[in-house]
Amino acid sequence: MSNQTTLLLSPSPHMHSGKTTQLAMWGVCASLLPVLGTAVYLFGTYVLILTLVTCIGAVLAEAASLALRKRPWTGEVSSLVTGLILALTLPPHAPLWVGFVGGVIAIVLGKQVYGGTGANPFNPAAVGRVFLLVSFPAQLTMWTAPFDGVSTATPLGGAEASLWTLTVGTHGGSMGETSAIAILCGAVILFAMRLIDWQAPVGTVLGTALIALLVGEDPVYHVLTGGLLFGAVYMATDWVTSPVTKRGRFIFGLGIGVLTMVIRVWGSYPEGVSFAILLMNALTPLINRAELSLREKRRKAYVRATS
Amino acid sequence: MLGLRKRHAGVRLPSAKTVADVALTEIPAPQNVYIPLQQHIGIAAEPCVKRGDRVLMGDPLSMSDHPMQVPVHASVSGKVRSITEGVLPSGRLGTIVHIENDGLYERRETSGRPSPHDYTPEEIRKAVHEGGVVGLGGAAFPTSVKLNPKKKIDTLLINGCEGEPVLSADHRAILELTDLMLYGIQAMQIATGAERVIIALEDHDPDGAEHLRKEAKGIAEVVVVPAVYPVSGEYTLIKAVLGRRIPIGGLPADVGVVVQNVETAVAVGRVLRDGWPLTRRIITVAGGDVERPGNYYVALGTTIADVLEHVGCPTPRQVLLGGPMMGQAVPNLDIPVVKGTSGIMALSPAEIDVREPLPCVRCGQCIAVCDKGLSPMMLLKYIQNGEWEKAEEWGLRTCMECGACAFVCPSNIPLVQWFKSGKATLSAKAAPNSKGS
Ligand code: SF4
Ligand code: SF4
Repeated sequence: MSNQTTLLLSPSPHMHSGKTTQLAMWGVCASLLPVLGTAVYLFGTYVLILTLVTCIGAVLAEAASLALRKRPWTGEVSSLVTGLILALTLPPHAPLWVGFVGGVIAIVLGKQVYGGTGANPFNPAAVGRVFLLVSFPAQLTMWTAPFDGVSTATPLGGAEASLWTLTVGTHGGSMGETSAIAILCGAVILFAMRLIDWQAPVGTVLGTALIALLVGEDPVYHVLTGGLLFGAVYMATDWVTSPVTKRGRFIFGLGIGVLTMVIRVWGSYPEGVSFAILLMNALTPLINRAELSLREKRRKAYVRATS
Repeated sequence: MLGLRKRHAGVRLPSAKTVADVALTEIPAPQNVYIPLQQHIGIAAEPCVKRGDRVLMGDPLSMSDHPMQVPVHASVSGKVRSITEGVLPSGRLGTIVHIENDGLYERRETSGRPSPHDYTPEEIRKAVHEGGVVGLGGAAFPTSVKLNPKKKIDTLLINGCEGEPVLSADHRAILELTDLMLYGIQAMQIATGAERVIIALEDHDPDGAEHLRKEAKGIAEVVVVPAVYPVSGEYTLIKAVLGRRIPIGGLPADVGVVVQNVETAVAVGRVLRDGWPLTRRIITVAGGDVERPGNYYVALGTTIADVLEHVGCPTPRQVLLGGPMMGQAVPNLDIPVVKGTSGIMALSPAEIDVREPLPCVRCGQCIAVCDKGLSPMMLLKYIQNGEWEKAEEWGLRTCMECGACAFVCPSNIPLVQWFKSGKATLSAKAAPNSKGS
């Protein structure tokens, strides 16, 4: 009856939103541009080199691990995202080798040992950052002032900073973390591309402010200093390591804020965002289980009520 | 008063109604038609013709008094060449009547009645059954059975929502076959005893809504629902329009509703007004490989190959029966168009999805869109790990395979395929003769 051409068989649906994981990663990269740009403006072109080296470390580590594990190179940009995010949490004049080591550690210890993308419980960039902080505390606290590059302290470390300084970022700190405005630009881009929900970042900010109020400190100051906003927007929103429901993400964010404050106020580190994120990453499976069991209960109740 | 009671989960699809403005035309019946006896949910009726018989257009090929055994009719005049086993569009085997078209299109004498009010409910059901009418929205459930509800019906809901992107047969029927449709709707109202009639349309289709607000005045209310896939399913639609929840495993009649599709109403109208049985249906033929996409009348039993030849598609690569969301790719083009066929898509290379799936990144989007309240991400995990009790407990069986989850999955995981095979495994395990755990 018909000419026997071979027809392609594939499962339904035969349509896709087009929003792929890869595209999402590129979107995150794009949203980091204002942050990176601001860092270059504030701290000079060395920032670009350090970022590049960190990303190279991450991407090379990804390629090497995949080759060792005999997995295909899927052209994934997630290692690039990890490298970028990690780099932006480093001091602007950290040695290049620190960036490289951090990138490698983030990918290898943060992701590949668990089985690669999707299987890692902890945010790789946070793993890299905490590893560096614990192993090389001196290099990780080499703070320099914007524009002139002389050594300085961070506001969290006791330096004076006006609200305006904190908002635009003209103070000592990690290269991507100082400017609230740049980070908010990034957040708006992510949100406009529907890559993140507001729940985790807002939860983080609220949790931080809440504890600050409780212990009688300035909530605005705590939200705007250190890596809080950067972590809230770029690390707490990581799909793989944050909860899968919106409410779960809010709780997750709150937890990060609260833990950050606990570390800042009572801990021995002046900064605690990456620690807090890792701790909440560890709780994510619990939050997911609770949330999804609740969803199941509701679904079953519906089934029962209607049959 | 009437409105959308509850936002439901789901996903807003690109409308892609590319051929919505293409008026209905007819694909001439081909040289040979292959008419399966089984074209509905139920049991095939016994054939009433034999090899060598000459049949007229509209002659029944099978007959039965049983409401679940819906007859089929000759869509051309000519000789019955064979009555043999063959592959049905569902992939199962069934009896197929092969008629060689003699090109005369000699029609069987028929007569109808000018007004639906000339019929009693019983007469309507009988005529609808004998006319071979089944649900043309895709499910192909015998219409006369639905018109004989065992419970008190207050609302007849006419489903004009074509959830599937691209498909626009209902839209054309609303605009071009309004009178027949309204005749059918009135008849169905008489048969079900419903007090009110509502026609539900998606907000993708403002022309249809405006047209009907004028034309259907005094017969039916028109309600526009947001096109959030899968709103077009009966359960979801009733929830959206009337705020009533149907028992899982129950029927719309359990909440006083009968749902009929627009094209089914047209078929009912044709049977009663003209006495003409269901011998052809409207099919949207589209996809990048089709030279003349559009909405076509196709004689039942026309093969996909013949349809594609008429619309111009010299080298089909992937062909779907149905729309892009739930349509199934066919292995060959010898499959005939049946009552349940709503569309044929011949996809171009750009439309064919060949990307490799990536691992689940736990983004949670599948969970957010599932209108059945399932957690597709978890079901996937349970199936992949072989945790069948868990999969069952977490509702795998209630998945309607709508594809919303796979549509949004950024890692392009073929979730529906996993769920289909998972459901098959569950059924195999539950089978009484199974020795599995
Ligand atoms: S295919 Fe199944 S699991 Fe996926 S959205 Fe539809 S009903 Fe839910
Ligand atoms: S949508 Fe896909 S990647 Fe996201 S959670 Fe569901 S299965 Fe995983």
